[in-house]
Amino acid sequence: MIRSYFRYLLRSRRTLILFFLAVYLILSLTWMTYDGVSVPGYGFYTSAKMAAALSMGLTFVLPVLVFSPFQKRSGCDQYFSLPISRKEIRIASLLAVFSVIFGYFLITVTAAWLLFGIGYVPLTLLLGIHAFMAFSVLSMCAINSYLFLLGNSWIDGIVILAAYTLLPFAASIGEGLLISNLMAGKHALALETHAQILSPVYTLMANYAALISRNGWLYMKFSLPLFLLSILYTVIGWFGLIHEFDERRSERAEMISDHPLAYPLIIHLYSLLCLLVICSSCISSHDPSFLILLVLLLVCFVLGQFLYRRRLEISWKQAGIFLAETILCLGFCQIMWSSRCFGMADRVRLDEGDTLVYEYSRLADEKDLGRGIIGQETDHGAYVSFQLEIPTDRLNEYQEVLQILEACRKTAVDQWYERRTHELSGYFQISSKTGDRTFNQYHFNPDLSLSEEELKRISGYCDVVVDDFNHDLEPSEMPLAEFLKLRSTW
Amino acid sequence: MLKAEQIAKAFGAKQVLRDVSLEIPDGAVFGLVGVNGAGKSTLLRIISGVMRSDQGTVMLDEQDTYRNASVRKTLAFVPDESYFPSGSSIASVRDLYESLYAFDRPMFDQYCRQFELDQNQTFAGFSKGMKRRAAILLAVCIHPRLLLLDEAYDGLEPLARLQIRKIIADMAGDGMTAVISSHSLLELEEFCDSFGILESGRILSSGDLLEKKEEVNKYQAAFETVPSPEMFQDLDIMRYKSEGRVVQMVIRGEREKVRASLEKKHPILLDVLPVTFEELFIYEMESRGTSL
Repeated sequence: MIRSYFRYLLRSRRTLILFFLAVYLILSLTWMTYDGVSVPGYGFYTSAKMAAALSMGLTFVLPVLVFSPFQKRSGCDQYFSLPISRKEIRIASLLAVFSVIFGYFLITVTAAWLLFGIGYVPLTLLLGIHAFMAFSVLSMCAINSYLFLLGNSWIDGIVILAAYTLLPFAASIGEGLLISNLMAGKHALALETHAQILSPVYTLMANYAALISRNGWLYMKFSLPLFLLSILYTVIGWFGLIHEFDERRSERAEMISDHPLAYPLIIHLYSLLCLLVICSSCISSHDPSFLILLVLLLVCFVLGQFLYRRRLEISWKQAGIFLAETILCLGFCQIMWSSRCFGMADRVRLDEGDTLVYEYSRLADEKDLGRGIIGQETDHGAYVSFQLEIPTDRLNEYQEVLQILEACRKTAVDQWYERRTHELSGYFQISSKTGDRTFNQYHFNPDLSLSEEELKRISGYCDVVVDDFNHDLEPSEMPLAEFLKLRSTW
Repeated sequence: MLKAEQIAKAFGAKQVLRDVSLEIPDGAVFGLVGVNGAGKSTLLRIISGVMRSDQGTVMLDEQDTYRNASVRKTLAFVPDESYFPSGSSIASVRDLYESLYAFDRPMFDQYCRQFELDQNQTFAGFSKGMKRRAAILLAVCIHPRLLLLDEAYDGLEPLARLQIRKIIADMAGDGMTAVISSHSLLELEEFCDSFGILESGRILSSGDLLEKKEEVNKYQAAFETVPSPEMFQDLDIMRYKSEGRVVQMVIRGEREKVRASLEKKHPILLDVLPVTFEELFIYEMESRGTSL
């Protein structure tokens, strides 16, 4: 029975399968020829990357195509009355989708290896790539089919699939904005967020990229935790699909998608995410535009309800829930602000990574470099800057400057939570580094400057440079000691 | 034998079927009728195994049609709206049927020629009637023991209706059971031998069509004086209409007994007329206070 239905699926969609194959090959081959001939092995790498991206894309498209009949009343009538169990239909459908997508990948990547990879890419790596992609395709097909079937119509299914796929990335952006709004020194763009690990595509493709990097084109490590997460997502997707399909009530077809994990949850998840960002911005900056954003979000909430219920109305219950969510988020953000992000703003590890880096740049009065000035007073100003790199295994040797700089950081954090204005030109930045990777970044624009005495002590550990651009000095940049000596002659 | 026992089904708060029980013997052609929303399609979906009932069971030859997929090898369901995936042709669906059922390919090829259906043409180019024909022909060519037809004649032109009716009647003669829902009661009457009237999710009336039709008759009587309805209180009147001294009544009961009872009231004239299936349906509904 499985074979019969499997064969039927492929035969009845022969045109579509051939169309996708043509698109797949054209795109992959186009990228394969890009530098693929001139740089040995590169053609294989680019085609394997492109093929993986296309395969992941198809794991969203094909499950929608094979499972959409079951979201139509007529489709349920047609297929559920056949002498084939739902379990057999599910397995045959998944197998058909898997065969098509993995078949494309197998053909393309093997062809790329034969054309550009032999001699540069070991056969074992090729087999490893195929095995990992087989797992990835099967995993994504199960997960995407499950998410699609949470909807009761194909449109709802696509919306729900898109919403859950984008949620980890939206959560990642939300996490960045929330932390940057409520934690001193953190900037959204420089933040390393973690919410993307909720994405099955991310966990699979991060490891796929690491697998490919073994041929020397990328330098990433295969992550076992991410792989375990991928397995977890696959198990959830698989059992979810069994439940959603085998136990599916066919009368759900074409009804509103009121499954608890469909619109009811999605609307609240996105609302909460937006509310957290808006409320954190309000708490952090006391910005009155908060109310306008809140109204806009309420409109989005109503539109979400419209998409769900096909009615443009909001009940008192929904309005109450929205209000409760707003109060909850405001309260949570206030607690985060008051507790300085649960103490995380003050709790900084200096010994992480290979190097601890302090960067300082300040527009100061040329007569007293310890007095910061604002941008308009440049006619008697000079830029003081330094970049101090401390190997983390030699922190003890730098205790003197660490005390100065950490005191500076503490003052900067205090000022940030006191919402003191930051008019001085310049910045104070701290980060950790391992190789090319920079992390634990803190960026401040505090209303303070290091005194000349402190700068002198720091200059014992690194170059402190003064750029006195008001005098026609050649060069205008010079070490602190030289500048102080020159200044004493004025 | 098809046996449905105490079937109940609700869609959310709406109770669609309540305690529906049916027994249809092999070879019977059962007409399922009812107003829109009465629950006909839901009942057919439950019988076909598409839908699970909240309560009760449907057994075909003592096997559950929902839980046991293999029993559906002998069951064909033609829903009111057929689904064929875009790009598919009769041939691709036929291939599926051939691999799932004991499909009679020569018979199918012959019918396709008879009904002028090109097996290689995709369904996208088919009219509603052509899709309907294809769906019915695919269903009958598996030689089902139970054929379920929802809105049987929807989209079919008169000649095709006639031909399909003949095919079904022939197959019923060979022992196939057919359950057919349709709004065309006149056509159902021509080849149904039993019937069921669904109303608000309940079987309002069911049984042998001929017996039932004999049980309900139209009586037209004229009296010397203007009669009052109270005169006929001893009879089971389903419909009463009077115009001067002439009375038209639809009365349930054995024809001779009713006639004898009316004769006792000394009518000047008394005529007895049989009812059609459509009239029977209308009178049954009216007698239960359902407005059509």
